Amino acid sequence: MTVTEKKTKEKILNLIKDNDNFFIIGCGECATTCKTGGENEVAEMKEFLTQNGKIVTGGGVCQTTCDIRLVKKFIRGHKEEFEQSDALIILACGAGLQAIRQFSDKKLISGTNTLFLGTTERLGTYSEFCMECGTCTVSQTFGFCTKTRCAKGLVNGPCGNATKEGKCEQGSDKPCVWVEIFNYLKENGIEDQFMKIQVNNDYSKAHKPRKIKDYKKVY
Amino acid sequence: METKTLKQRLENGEFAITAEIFPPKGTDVSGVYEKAGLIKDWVHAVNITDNQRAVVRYSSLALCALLEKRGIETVYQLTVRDRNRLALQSDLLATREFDIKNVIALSGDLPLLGDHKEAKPVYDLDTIGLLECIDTMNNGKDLNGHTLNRETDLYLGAVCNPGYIPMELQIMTMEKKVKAGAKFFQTQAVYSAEHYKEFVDKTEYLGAKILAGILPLKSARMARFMNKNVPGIDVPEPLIELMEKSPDPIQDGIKIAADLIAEIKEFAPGIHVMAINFEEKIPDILSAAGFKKLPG
Repeated sequence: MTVTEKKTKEKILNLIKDNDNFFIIGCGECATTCKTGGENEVAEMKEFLTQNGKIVTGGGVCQTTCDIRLVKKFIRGHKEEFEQSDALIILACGAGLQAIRQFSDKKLISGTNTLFLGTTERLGTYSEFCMECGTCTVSQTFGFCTKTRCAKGLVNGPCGNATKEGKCEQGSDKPCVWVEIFNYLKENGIEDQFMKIQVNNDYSKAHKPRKIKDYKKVY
Repeated sequence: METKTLKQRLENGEFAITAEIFPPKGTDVSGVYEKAGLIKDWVHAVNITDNQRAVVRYSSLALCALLEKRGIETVYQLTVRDRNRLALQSDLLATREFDIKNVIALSGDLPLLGDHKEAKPVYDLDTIGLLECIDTMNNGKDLNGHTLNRETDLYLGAVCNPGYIPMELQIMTMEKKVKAGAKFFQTQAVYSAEHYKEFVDKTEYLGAKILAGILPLKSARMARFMNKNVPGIDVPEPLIELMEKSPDPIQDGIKIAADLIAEIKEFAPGIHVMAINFEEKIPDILSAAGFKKLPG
């Protein structure tokens, strides 16, 4: 899931100051789960804008904002209110916001910050386990992606700076993934396999912007 | 400084002493010349740190080059935090012409801990990747196997932390560093010769030359701060109490460091002194530990 957070009130006020008529678009996928762009958040944004003297021409939750086809359908279904607005507030991820740009020249205002590809622990608690590098080596590091979960992205760690409690020097709430790997190996009686970890960092498939066009038949 | 290089000393089994100097924040290097001048007749090589603690400072490569020109052997510290593999190799190629003979590969403290928290951390290669890269360059090729018109000639080092928990993990990582080309290590600061001896025994099989990190205490407060905040540092409580009660903590800090060195030199191939902004005391410490000014 793409994890988003709400932008601060001050940030939003600054972004909306030059416009008067707004149309709000939320997203029925990740932003709904993250409670940043669901029905409630669209209503909340509507109230916030109104309180601040703005006119909300309409709004709603698009099924999947990062799907250009569904965005097109959503906008078509709200044609009139959409046209009456002079700016759009998007409560979705950056991929969703930019799908909307394909159909409209209106000013786009993002009401969220897009954070990371998240793994859900429980609702509201998400962790970044994958950085979408394009060259997956996680099977070589026993199911822990160190490129993502090590603050330094070391592929042959650890560094010497983990605390004795096994936390990263970056912050006491972040575990050192290398200690986690070692503990996993130890618990399973295979710590000698640590020596076999040998990963090369290859970022050639991480060069932006990325695009794929076809499904490939591999097997 | 002696004519023998750090590599020759260590490989010949002769005791080696290195010390660390921080580059300045600014363009004036006269302070470094002064500090290096004070210690050059006591140590075999001087480490120059690379934006340590992720704080912007004078270039480590440039400062090593300037000191080598003045006849001071340097250990060029190079982190993978600020440079990608292109920049790392480019800088490493410059070392030979500058007569820089030693390099230490480090990961580097995170930018979040430094004075430019907004910086994008690089970590394109990691420490082991950098060691392999330098080893390849010493053999006349770049990281991707392209031929260099002349190879680098660098004695490869890395760092380790004898107080790291779990210790087995640290030792396995050291083994990987040795396999990647590291010939010597400099350690995080140690304060117990007894514990350090255990570490030396456990790592003997690696065949690497490990220089024990010595960080002289200036106060009980400093010791407590490091115990709390620096992973792997464990200043024993009796030493902290001694510092606390001391009428002259600086002098006692020197004595503690000297006593520790005197014990460690009996079983270790060398020491690495990190006297942060305290470099002028290095001759006193070494002299109290039984060393003499170097000939020449």
